[in-house]
This record gives sequence, structure tokens and C-alpha cells, in this order.
Amino acid sequence: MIKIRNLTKKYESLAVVDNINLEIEKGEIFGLLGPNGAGKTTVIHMLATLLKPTSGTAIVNGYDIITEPGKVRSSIGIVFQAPSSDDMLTGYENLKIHAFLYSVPSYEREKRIQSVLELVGLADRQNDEVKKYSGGMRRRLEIARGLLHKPKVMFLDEPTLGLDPSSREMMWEYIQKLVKEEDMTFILTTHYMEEADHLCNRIGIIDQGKIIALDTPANLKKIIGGDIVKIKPKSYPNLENLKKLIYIRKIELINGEIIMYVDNARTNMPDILLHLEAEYVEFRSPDLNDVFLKLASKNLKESVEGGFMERYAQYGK
Amino acid sequence: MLSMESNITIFEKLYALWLREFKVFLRERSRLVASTFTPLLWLFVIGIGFGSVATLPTGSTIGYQKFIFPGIICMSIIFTSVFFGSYVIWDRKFDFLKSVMVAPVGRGTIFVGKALGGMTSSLIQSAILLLIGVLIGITYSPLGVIEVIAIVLLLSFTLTSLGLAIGSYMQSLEGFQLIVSFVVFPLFFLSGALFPLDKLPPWLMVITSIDPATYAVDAMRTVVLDIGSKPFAFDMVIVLVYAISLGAIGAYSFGRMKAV
Amino acid sequence: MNIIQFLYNAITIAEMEARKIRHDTTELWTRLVQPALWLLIFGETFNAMRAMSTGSFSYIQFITPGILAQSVLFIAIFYGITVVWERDVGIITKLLSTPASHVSIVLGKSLAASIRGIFQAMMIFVLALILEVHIRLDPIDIAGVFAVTILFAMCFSSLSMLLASFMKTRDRMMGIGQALTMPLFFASNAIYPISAMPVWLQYISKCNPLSYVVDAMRSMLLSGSYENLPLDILILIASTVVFVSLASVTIKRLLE
Repeated sequence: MIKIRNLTKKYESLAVVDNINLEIEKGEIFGLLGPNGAGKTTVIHMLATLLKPTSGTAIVNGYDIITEPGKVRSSIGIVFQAPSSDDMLTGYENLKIHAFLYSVPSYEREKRIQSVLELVGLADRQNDEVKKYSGGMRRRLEIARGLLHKPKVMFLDEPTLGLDPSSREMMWEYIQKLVKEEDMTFILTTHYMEEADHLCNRIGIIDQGKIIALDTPANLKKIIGGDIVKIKPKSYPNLENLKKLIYIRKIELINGEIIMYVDNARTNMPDILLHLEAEYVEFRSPDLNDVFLKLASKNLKESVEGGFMERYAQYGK
Repeated sequence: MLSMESNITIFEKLYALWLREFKVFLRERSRLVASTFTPLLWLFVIGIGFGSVATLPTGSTIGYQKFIFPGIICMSIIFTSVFFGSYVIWDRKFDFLKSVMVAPVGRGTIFVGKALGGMTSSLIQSAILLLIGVLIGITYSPLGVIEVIAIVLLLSFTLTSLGLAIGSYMQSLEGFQLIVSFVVFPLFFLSGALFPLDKLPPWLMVITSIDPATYAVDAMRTVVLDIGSKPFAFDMVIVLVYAISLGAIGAYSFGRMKAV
Repeated sequence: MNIIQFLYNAITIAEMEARKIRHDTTELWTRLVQPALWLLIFGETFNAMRAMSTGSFSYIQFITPGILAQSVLFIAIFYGITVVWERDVGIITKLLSTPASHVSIVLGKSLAASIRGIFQAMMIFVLALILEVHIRLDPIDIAGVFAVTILFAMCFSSLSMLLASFMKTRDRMMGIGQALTMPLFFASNAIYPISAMPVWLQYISKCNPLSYVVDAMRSMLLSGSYENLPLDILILIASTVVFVSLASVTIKRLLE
């Protein structure tokens, strides 16, 4: 559905997006994950033809973003980071104007507007001016607007940024509902790890304009290598004994706490506790946050030393 | 067949863009009230006040208040149109423009939609003032009304394009004050809206002859009061030339404006 | 708080503001365009037409003190925008949390505005000299004109701060400034004598502090007859005291 080829955007000599290559299949929910300023939004803007790449290109729904921007725009829907609906107009009027702009056929216009309003739960508020909407309602209106012309690809740029936790969960529900009901490809950017984990079937982690990891959430978590176990020992432990245990992948002593990456911590925990006396024990499954922190800090180091990809390859082994 | 279809969609898109501008214009009541209030202030405070002390060589028995009436209509068009064009700075700041630019609509179409919006706003403003003109004893012929509408539309297109051209280069809202000081006010002051130009010092006359509004004011004066200094057709041709050139510059600048 | 401490605070704040002006003179120049055009085009033209009966003075002489006052009015009435900006970046919060009294803060800020006012007035002065407008160049009178400029700028900048305490956003301040300047200017004796106005406008003009400022400046720059001067200055001082006091009471609303 989307093929990104050597996509680069430079401002002066600074590469904000640095030679990205990526393919996204039809029907995927693809997450671009990264900290603020990593280049996520710039990628989306280039794919949506709002920004010209410095070099490289991308094919969206079979059209080249540089040579066929008009056809690309007809194929995509986009929800911007900051709501872009006109707040002097009502929700309905915003949608009507966009139905015209996207040449939605006249016989379908009303039906389509009402059905997207229904979908995002704004049908009863459609005649209120947008300035009277809450942040979550505005975001939902943006989604409705993005869906109006039945795009093949939908871009969501930080769809839940600035929303309170309950609106965020509602937004997740809407997105999942859409994925089930409409036959679309989704690309969303986020810097919330749990969001990417929750919604996406594949994730690209982007940092300093480069994709530093690309996989399913589950596989990415395997980079960490098992569950994370934290033990505060009663006395200074003999780590050598623990290191011999086959299911412990890595072991570190930080601030008097033992941090271990353990396969299947739940069943192996009693065995670990035979080797040391613990004041307290914590364990949890790794989340994308752990992955991100690990990769990003790695990348920071690598950008000085170079040769990150070789080391990343070793992680998989 | 195919080309006819695409023509229809372009008209639909223009209609949508125009509709947005028109609805915003209607809902921003404070803007509408403010932009009607200022011309009235000129007409009734300066018009009456100056009228009672000043004797203008207007060449006839027409009082000062009536003399400036066509100029005040043009003033309202100058303010409305240039502001309207430069509001594109706001549109960009608040991201509305991004949602239009990501739609399958050409920049040229968006530009024309904006210009249509500016022309509509000017037309409504002028209509209000023309009605108020009846209160001070101005009368119109049916042909006159058509000619006035033509002047309003032409001048407004010219100046909305100018506003859009400037606005598309401006990055911050602070630029707005610069536009007011260096564009809007000089356009108005140099147009001869407030005084007959033939009594000006020569160096000033040269400057006034560059101002497109000068010709619109003169044309308006010919139509409404029959005291223009140049033939109506001449004035209109000059304004038309300005409309075409500033329209082209506006469309070009708007076309190369960065979307994000 | 004793009076010396009070004055010290006010002057410190004014000095702080004065330093800032040096960094950004764009606004000063931008706001100068309109008064300059008034003098240059409006003044020159009506002067050339000899269309205006303004007593023993030519029209350009008559209008010069009016334009001088207008230029100060513009810079003072938009001063509130600066205050709103300072509020947005947190400077006002810091300032109001110091032990300095609110009166001394408003006073200090309005003094700073009067520095801007003096800049505007000086520029118009220079322009008038270039245009060879005949004005009296008696040093005492000129000093008097600048003293009036200072008071006037303080008066209207504190009015602007008073408005800013209620408006709180730059957009709204811009709008209200725009809406106020023209009516204040037109409904005064700045561009034509009060006696020539319709009666309803005469009443409005007489309530407009700007009329007294222009009258005072006119007596010093043109006529040299000072019989109205004490009344003019008294009214100006009274309005300044009223606006400074009101603004001192309301300025804490900026923190809400």
C-alpha cells in the first residue's frame, strides 16, 4: 500500500528524516513511534504531499507522492496533530465543505456525512459550532472528516495527544472499530508506547530521523529478552551463581537492586529465590517503553560510534 | 464528457471554499460591526465636521460629506479586502489551511475561492454603505448600481490578491500590524478618497497615480456623483490591469507558499 | 511603604522597560507611519487647498500639534498588548509577586510608555521641521510640550493597562485599540476646531482628554497664549491619576 524509498528531508544540512525505507501492507495498522522531534510528523507530512522531500520518494496507493500528488491526496485521509476544523462552522458544515472538496458524489453526500457522524458519535451535536466542542469531540470530528471520502489510507498524527485518559480510550475504541468495519490501511504516529502496543500490528521506532527498529510489538519486546525482574537482596548476593541459570539472559546490579531479564519469570521465580534472600521482589513483562529506551540510548551512543545496525542484528540472536 | 465533469467538480470545490469564507464572515459579527463602524465615523464625524469648515474646490455645489462618500466606500473595500487576504496568516497558524491543502484541490482553486470570499465580503460592506448613502442624499440609477458593483468587485479582487500575496510570505501574526501601517493606510490615504487630487503638490500626485485605489475612487465618483476627473472607462481599464497583475502575483505567491 | 522606596520601585521598573525598547524598535517605527502620513498627505493637501478656516494659522500649523498627540496616543493605547505579552510569558506574575506596590508597578510601566511616546513626538517634531511648518521653537515651550507628552502617554498607557486587565488576550487588545484610536482622534480638536463641530460632537470632544492635550500643545507650539494651559494640564493630571489608580486596582486580574 505504501512504499517509502530513501525518503529524506533536510533543513539546511540537518536531516530531520534520514533516508527512510519502509513498506506498509494493505490492511495494516502501522505505528511510527518516537520521541518529540524524531521526525514522525515530517514523514506523515511528506506522505500526505504537504511537504516536498529533499530526496527519495514514496508510493501511496500506487501513486507517486512527487509526480502524482493530486491522486495521492484523493486516496488518503489525515488527522492532524492539532485539530484543523474551522471552529466558526458547525461540525456538519465542516464535513459538508470537505465532501465538496473531495468530490463526494452529490447523491451520496448527505448519507456519507450522516454515517461518519454516527460512527464517531457526533450525530446529535452536528449543528453546534466546533468552538463549543471538547478536545475529544474535535478529534473525533477530524476522524469523521478524514473518513468522509472513504480513503484507502488513513494517517493519524498523534491522534490522542492532549486527550484525557478516558477520551484516549474512547479514541482507541473508535480506531479499532474502524479497522474492523472499513477496509483501510492505518498509519499512526505516537509517542505513547502503550498506544502503539494497544493498536498497532507493526511498529517502526524512529529516532533522529532514522528507523532504528521495525517489527511487531511482541517481537520488539523480545529485544529486551524476557520479563524484567527486580530484586532487593537482604545481603550482598553472589551473582555468579545466578548467572549460571539458563533462563536468566542478563543480570545487572543497579543501586543495590538486582535487575534481571528472565524467560518466563512467573514459573522460574521460585527457583531464583532459592539462590538468594530477598527483601522484596517485583516482576513485569517488558513494554515498548523498555524497548524504546534501550534502542534510543543505544542509538545515541551509536551516532557517535557508528555501526548500530550490526549491533542491532546481534540483538536478534 | 470527461472535461465537463472536471469542470463541474471545480465549481463545486470553489463553491465549498467560498461557502466557508462566507459563513465565517457572517458569524464574525464583531468584525462586521467594526468594519462598518469605521467608515461611518469618517462619513459622519469627518464628513460633517470638515464640511462645516472646509470649502473644497470640488467644482460644484457638492458638500464635503458627499464628496468623500465614494472614497469612504473604497476605503471600506481597501480595509476589508487587504485584511481578508492577509487573514491567510491566521488560517495557517490555526491549521485550517492544512486541511484544505491536503484535499485534492489545486492551489489555484483555493486562491480563487479565497478571492471570491474577499469579493463577497466587500460587496456586503459596500451594500450597507450604499444604503446609508441614501440617508445623506445620494441617489443611484440602475446602471449606476451595476457600475458600482463592477468597481467593488474589481478593486476587491485586486486588493484581496495583494493581501494574499503578502500574507503568504508572512510567518507571524505580528506581520499584520506592518501590513496595516505600510499597505492598508497608504493605499487609503494616497487614493484621493478624502480630497481632490488635482490640487496636490506634483511629487504627491506621482505617488497617488501608482495607487490602484485612486482609479477606483475616481470611477466611483464618476458613477455616484458625476464629478470624476478621468473617463470611467479609462479608470476601469487601469483597475483591470492592476487586477490582472496583482491576481497573477497573488496566485503565484499563494502557489509557492509552504503548506506546513 | 515610604515615598522614596515607592519612587525607587517605579523608576526601577521604568528603567527595566526602557532597556527593552532598545531591543525592539520595530513597533515604534511601524506605529509612526500613520501619523506621518496624516501630516504629510492630509496636512499638506488641505494646507495647499487653503480650504480650512483655522483662524490665523495655516492648516498644517493647526494640525501639527494634533498629529503629535495622535502619534503618542497610538503608541500609548497599544501599550497593553506588551503587558498581555508579558503576562503570557510570566513576567507580570513575577513582577506582581515582588514587594513593590501595584501603584508603583503601573506608574513605572506608564513611565516606560512615555519614553516610547517621547520618541514618537520627537520624530513628528523632526518631520514638522523638515516640512518647514512654522512652530514656536522657544526652549521652555518645547520642554513643556514634552512634559505634556509624558503625562499624556502615562494617562493613556494606564488606560490601556486597565483594558488589558479585562481583555487578557493580544487579539482582543489589538481589536479594542483599533476600535478606540479613531473615535478618540476624530472626536477631538486634533484635526479641526471644536467650534466647527456639530453640537453633539462638541460635547463628546469636551469629555475627551485628547482635546486638552492638543489644546495645551497648540498653545505652546503655536499661539503662545497660556490662559487655557492650567485647565488643560489640570484635567490631564486628573485623568492620569484616575487611570493609574484604576489600573493599579485591576492589574492583578491579569494573574487570573
